[in-house]
Amino acid sequence: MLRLKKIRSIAAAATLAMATLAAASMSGCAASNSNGKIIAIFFPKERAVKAADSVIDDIMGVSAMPAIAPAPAPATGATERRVIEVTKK
Amino acid sequence: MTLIFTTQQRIASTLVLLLCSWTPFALAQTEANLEIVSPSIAVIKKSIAGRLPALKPRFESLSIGLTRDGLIKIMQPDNIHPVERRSVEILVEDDNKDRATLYREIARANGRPDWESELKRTFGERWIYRAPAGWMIEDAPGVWKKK
Repeated sequence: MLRLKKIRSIAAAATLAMATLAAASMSGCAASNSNGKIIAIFFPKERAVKAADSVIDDIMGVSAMPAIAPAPAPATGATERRVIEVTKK
Repeated sequence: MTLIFTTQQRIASTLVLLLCSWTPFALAQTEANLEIVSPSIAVIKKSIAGRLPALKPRFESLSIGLTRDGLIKIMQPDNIHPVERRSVEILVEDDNKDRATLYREIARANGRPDWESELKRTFGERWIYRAPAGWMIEDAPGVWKKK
């Protein structure tokens, strides 16, 4: 009797789980591609930007189309001291 | 058949429900990397790259510019010598065919052909963002300026 109850519990939970996954897929939250991998329904803009940059790098070469120049390194204490010394002179 | 659930079963089912509701979100977030490596994509990239040396002087002379949808366009045909005009037109046509194919192939490689227009727009933004200063770019729909 107890075993039957357990089986019924598992069956009910599994049914609910399947129904929920189906609902998630239908509502557009997630889906599987042809490889069975779960993919996002919504367009992943950030990842698309990274992918585009990578493709553009391959086509143009990094030196031909440079990305934004890296920000200058923050001033260190030593640099600040030198600036002060020069100003004093 | 009538199923009568006990309180314990209901709690267990609710927990499973919550877990299963969250899992697709979590997986979708972590596994949505865009696939950009495939034999056909590699061939198209090589083709576009091979055309670049011929097109680069045309970008620099403002004869052609980058559109917002990831393509290129002849902007000032007068800047091109009449003898060369047809060959430049062919270069631009071929390049645009390759670019369109590239975006379509990336969308397909990701199992989402419906992403093609979004990819075109994203590539358009990135081509423009990363173009050297002095090139013609489509700043707003139909509005061109020198970067």
